[in-house]
Amino acid sequence: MNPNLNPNRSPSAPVRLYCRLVRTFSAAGPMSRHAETCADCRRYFQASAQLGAALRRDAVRFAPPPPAGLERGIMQAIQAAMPSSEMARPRSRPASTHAGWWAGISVAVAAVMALAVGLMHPPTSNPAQPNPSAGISVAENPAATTPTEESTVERLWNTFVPPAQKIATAEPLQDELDAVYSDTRFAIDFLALNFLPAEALHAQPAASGLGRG
Amino acid sequence: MIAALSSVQTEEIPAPEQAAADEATLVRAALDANPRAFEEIVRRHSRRIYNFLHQFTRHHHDAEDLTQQTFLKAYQNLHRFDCERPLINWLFTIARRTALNHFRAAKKWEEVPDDTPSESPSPANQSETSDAAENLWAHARRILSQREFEVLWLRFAEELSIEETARIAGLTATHVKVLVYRARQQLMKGAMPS
Repeated sequence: MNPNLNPNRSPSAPVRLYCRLVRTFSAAGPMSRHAETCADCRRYFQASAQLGAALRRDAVRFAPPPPAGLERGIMQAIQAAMPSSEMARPRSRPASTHAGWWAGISVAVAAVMALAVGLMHPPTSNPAQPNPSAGISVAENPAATTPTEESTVERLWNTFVPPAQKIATAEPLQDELDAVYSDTRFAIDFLALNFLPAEALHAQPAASGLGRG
Repeated sequence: MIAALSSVQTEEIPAPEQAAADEATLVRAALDANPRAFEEIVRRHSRRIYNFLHQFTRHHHDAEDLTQQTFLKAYQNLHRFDCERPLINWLFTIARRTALNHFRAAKKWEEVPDDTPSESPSPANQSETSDAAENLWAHARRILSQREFEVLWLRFAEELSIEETARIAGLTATHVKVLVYRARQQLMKGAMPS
């Protein structure tokens, strides 16, 4: 039996790829046609294929038998290493990073919109409201003596960080009462406009108010 | 405990044929707290992983320990597995790294003794020795470097592609081709067992 054809036995003589043509280029295409006629190349590729087959065969033939209870040992190792609560559920897939990106983008967009609205509608003092800084002396309120245009940066800063003077002179109870009064007046005006006859509306223009202002 | 786990949610386990067709389903079932799904993964792949690790360690107990560590790591990181790729390749990657860490902590590749010391050769040992002499892999382990042997094993014993081997070994495809070529040349040089 030809030893080169025996898959169980490797070639006894050293087999090398002598042909420079095939060593230089790929064995595909024209090279495969060349290999059909070149004895050296044929011998090399045959030996290479035999070696591959022998390696595959020996990997199966000499595979060690797995120890008894290998699978059980693996599951027990997992149970021993993981708490029972985690054993029931492996670490779940983490939340997609896209969700974090979207949340960040939403917050940024909301902040930009709030900023834009704040800049377009700067807080104006209500003439109906008493000026809380009226009672503050000039020394305490220099802005009252030099009414200059606030820059954009100052307005932005004041939007988020109210000045100490504002905090000190704020009257939250009065502000709340004014807001309630304003809402009530608006509601009564709305009802009068829609449900009272026009004559009554012209005859008693003051009836729509609460007797104040 | 194992028996208890086996009895849980039996009806949710897909049939073996169906699971074989779609391994990703099995992984998703394991992620959805189906304990039998991971058992099925272990049942399918533990033997190949053990065999691969035994080629590294040449020691049954070490290979068994490393197999357990491999599957434990796989269980803990199952959510990171890309279901588009074969599960066995991912397990090979984990097993290889686990084995390398083991060697880094213990012994070098060249110093690992064989599992079967034979001071007084019995007939069984003689038979084993003659088998080993014919075994190309035993010969390859003697003459190849660890990396060459590892790449050769993945290419021929596990029959993985160049790209898959490269991904598992952390090499480029060209590097894998070079290593396989060199390993084959060395095995074909006439130093092969007759």
